[in-house]
Amino acid sequence: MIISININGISHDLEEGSTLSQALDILNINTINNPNSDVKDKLKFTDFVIALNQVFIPRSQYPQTRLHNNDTVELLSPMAGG
Amino acid sequence: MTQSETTDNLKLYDREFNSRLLVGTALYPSPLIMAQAIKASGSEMITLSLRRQDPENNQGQTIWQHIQQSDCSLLPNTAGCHSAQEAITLAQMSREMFNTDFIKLEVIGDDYNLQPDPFETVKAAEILIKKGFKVLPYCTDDLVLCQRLLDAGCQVLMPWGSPIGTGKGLMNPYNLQTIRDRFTATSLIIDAGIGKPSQAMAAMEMGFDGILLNTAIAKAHNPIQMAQAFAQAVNGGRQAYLAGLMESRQTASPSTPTLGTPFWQQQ
Repeated sequence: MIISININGISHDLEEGSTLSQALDILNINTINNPNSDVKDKLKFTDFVIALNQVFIPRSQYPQTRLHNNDTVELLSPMAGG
Repeated sequence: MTQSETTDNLKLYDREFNSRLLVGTALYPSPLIMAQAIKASGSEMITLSLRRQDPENNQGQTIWQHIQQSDCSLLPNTAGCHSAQEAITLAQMSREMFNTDFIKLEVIGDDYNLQPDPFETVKAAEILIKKGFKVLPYCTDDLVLCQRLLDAGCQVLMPWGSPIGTGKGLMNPYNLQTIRDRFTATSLIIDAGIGKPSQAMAAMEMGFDGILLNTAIAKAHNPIQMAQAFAQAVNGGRQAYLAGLMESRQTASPSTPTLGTPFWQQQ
């Protein structure tokens, strides 16, 4: 079964039971599982942090965090601020 | 340099800073000018944020690289949050991203003048303090709100001078002076609304412990020169406060001695 999740406002289809790590892999974002990935120009693991349905998810929990249909993921990176 | 000058540091929780000027990293003409302005300001703590990364605009990464190369401590903010829960989540994300317990707590209650929401700010502060954060709340100049934030465990308060980005300076000196006089042991930083070095200096002369600003430097014609101007103003205001200002008087009083005035007998 396919589930739909929203990452930074964009909808993505994933296999049901996918973890946060697997979702990031599909999006070509390095995770704790593949820090030496050879895909270029993608976000490094230490360049972003995540909230799932407005709840902070520590990096250490990405592999265990399962996604569900209509989940909302915020993937944030450093930016200027006042 | 005297003993008192060497130990006159800005105290923020368990940290001490030589500079009493904190600056933001937004709105500069370029990341390079930002880095040069921060250096010119002498600031040792700078604010920054977390945002969705825009694949079309990599400036966030460039700014982050410059910030990482600086020696400044980081003060991530929760700008844009409208509820305690949003601010708490963003603070937790910031702690992991920037590896610091310091957080500039900002919960907006009105989008028109960016006035902080006092109720949600206190609620968020209570929870964040319990989670081990060192909370620097952006708040209004309301005395009771400041007391509630102290009750929540905040050791630093950051009342606004005036709304963010307005440059209107110290909108309500009476309220600010009242807060200063009532919370003598608390580090108080004026955050937001400072448009000119003279306004920053006025706040420091009142006894505020520091100034946090962004737009006035970033939007100056020459941000680097303006950063230097603010650094001098903040330092000058601090020295004046420590030196002790004279009492203002309603009537004139000659500064030159009247005894021995010449031509006295000629009238």
